[in-house]
Amino acid sequence: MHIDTTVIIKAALLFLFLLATTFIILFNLLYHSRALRATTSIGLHIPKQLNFLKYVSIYLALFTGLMLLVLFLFNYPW
Amino acid sequence: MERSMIVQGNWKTFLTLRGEQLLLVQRKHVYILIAPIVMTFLLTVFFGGVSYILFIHFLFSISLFLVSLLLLTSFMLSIIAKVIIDWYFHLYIVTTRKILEVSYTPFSSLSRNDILLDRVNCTEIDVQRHGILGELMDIGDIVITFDRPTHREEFVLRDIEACNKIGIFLTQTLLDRGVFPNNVQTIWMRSPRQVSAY
Repeated sequence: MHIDTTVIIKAALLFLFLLATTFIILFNLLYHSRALRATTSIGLHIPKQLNFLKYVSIYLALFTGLMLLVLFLFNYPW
Repeated sequence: MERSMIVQGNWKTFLTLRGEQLLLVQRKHVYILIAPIVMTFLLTVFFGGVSYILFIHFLFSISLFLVSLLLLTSFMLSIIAKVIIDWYFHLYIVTTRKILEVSYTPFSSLSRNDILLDRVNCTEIDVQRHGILGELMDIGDIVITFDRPTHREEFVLRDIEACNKIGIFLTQTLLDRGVFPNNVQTIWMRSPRQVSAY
């Protein structure tokens, strides 16, 4: 069976995008949890706008991940 | 003491010495966030253009292009959140007994630099404003110079809002000895040859 080179490149890119999405979600969660821990120990409060920004970026990354999965599973050859 | 000198927060954890009172808590001016945020936005637009060329003209995949745009946007938001958090955790604190700089970047660094005011002599407080933006927005550095037995040390409060007003306030409290009127000026002796000289 012959597979086109562009399909391989697209598959590799999809895989890279999935990795990047996972990284973004993990980074946001961990970074904000560390920051939150520092704020409670120092006595500062994280501004609401920052929390909003965190949730927007996490949900956007989750949505991107979902789209990637849908693309990967149902939209061959992407 | 003016309340505007102290940004909102619970600063009791920094008051560790006996009889210590808070004089000043400041962050860098909020306008210094503009440059990195604009830069991040421009980079995102650039990479969006690159992905447009790559996915539309070479790989012919609109779905991959849309996904890459979403990914870039979420990456940009993450970086902006990081820039704001790093700014939020960089504080300059002046109390009646010490000057403290706290800088915390989650996952990478924590620095806590403090100077005990009853161990050193504050000799100079300079205010420096750079450029048009600094002049218009009243952003500047306050350089506090200390005399130590071995060398002169500088403590710099960078990119502070209302630097002139804060500079005057610090001059009144640290140089005029308004904060600790009973404190005796230390005299540093230079390399004694014999102990009996004293």
